Amino acid sequence: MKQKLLVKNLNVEIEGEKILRGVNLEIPEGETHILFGPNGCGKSTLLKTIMGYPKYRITKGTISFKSKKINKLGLNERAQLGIGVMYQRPPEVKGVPLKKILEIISDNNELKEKDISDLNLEEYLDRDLNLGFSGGETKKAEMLQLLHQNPDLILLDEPESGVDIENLHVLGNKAKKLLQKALDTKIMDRKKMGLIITHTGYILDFIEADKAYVMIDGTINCSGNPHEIFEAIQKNGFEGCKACLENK
Amino acid sequence: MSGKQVNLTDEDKKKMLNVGVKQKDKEKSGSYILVDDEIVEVDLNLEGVELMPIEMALKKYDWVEDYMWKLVDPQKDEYTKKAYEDKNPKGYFIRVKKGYKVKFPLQACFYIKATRKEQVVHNILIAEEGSELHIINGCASGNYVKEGYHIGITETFVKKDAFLSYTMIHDWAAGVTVRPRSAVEVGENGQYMSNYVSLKEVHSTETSPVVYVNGKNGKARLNSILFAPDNTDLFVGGKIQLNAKGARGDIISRTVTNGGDIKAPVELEATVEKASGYMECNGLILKDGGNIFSSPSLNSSIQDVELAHEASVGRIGQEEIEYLMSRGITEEQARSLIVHGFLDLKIKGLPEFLQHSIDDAVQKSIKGM
Repeated sequence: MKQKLLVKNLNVEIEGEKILRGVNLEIPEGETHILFGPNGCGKSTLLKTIMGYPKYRITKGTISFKSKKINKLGLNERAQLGIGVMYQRPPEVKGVPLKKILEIISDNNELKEKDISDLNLEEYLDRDLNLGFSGGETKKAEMLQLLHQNPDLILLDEPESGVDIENLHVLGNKAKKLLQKALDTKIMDRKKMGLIITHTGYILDFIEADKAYVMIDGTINCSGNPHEIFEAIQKNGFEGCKACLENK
Repeated sequence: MSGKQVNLTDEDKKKMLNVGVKQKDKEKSGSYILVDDEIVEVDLNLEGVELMPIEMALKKYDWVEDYMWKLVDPQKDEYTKKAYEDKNPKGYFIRVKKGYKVKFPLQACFYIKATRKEQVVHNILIAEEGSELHIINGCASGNYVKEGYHIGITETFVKKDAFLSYTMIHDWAAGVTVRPRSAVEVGENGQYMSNYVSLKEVHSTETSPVVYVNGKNGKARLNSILFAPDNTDLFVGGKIQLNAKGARGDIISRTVTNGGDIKAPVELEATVEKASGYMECNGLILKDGGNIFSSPSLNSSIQDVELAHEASVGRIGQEEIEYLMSRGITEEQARSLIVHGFLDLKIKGLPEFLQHSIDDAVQKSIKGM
């Protein structure tokens, strides 16, 4: 049976404040979707709610993954089930070196030397997780953790923000491989599911995404071809999206 | 040299290993084991180092007397008085002779075996000019010890250009009361480093070593790693007094309470110009009920000194825990990773063996958290 992520009529509050209002989306296996939207519309909230952060309270609706309703599962249980996030701004974890967490979460219980050297992170292995890392280093360390975890549902929160051109290439190609969008995985063998938040759209140059959504004020009202939607946003901004909604 | 034999059970030996003391390992430099009031073992195969019971040292050298009670005031409190009145003092005398640099640690161990034992010791440590010595002092008691006292006076003298490190890993049984009283004098260009590690349940520990940096460019560093489970009362203070130009003092403490009480009043005092020092005291409270009283103080009336401190007490950040959990590990695992990292003090200049002993002790205590 084909797996999928299914989000139905999802309503979420943070400390009493409504953020998501009836979000619906479905990501079948083998597909990667893009989530566009202005700042503060609830994109990161959606990712963190799918991941299971307790602060994000589901008031209505369901999230199911691999045919299982996961609303009540804790963070680590969802991670065990195969969900992984690349955070936009992860916390610094003093005293826990990058290497240690990689060893713990690696799906083959080993350090993945090739990924480490491709990302140029050899010298960061003994450093505390994210402590004093630059924007680009943080992104690379996040990607490295995902590569070790090797989740089935990959959630990327602005993977390209704060990253220079050179690193953008490395990160883009790693994301492509992780999401099984590279040609070394036959199209019919692709199982990974992905959801990517992007502002700049750079990631679209690396990953042929299957679908894109626009989120405005905690709701998704529009979906379609990622390149077309991105072009429309570049041309008219999110103001254009809002105007479009009002005319509906 | 061998003292009177006392039989140690396997459990006793295991406890000693826990605190980094290896028995009868001839390749290691030297060791001194005091079980209750009996000297079990004095072993030494190191050139340049003298290690003997203090009683013997007092008979052998008439100048040893001059070092007794030079830095610690016998009238300080009831414990020092008790030690002062002791006509047959137990304890060790260690001297590393001029110019000898010994990289492998010297081991000393006081072990309380019988119940209701009062152990009173007086130690004298001398690092002569240009020497180097690392001492690990494991303190332990059998698990069956219900109550006991350990009173230890230690007076340490670090002479010109000498380097002495003193590492203490406590592993007392729950009912034991520990009252070390120690003082250190550091001479010109001399360096003293103390590492105090206490990670297990202990009835009560109260210690507050004082280091007098009396020589030009002398340095002192006090590191402490404290973990207080329930029913544990730790008072680990300390003071460095900088009495010479270019003197430097550093105090670093990492404290974690999981129900116990920790008091850590530490002080840096500069009495002359061009002295400098830094204190860093960080505490973690793992559950309500435990208490950390961290009180770093800086004291000087001289303009041209540099003293600074940084202190914090708090819980483990929920954000960090959740972040680690989202990688697939349980909350307990995430907490223990963070606590372990917090206590994992990498000490510059400490021989690897000693760092390992400390790392080991931390690892074991976190496992049982």
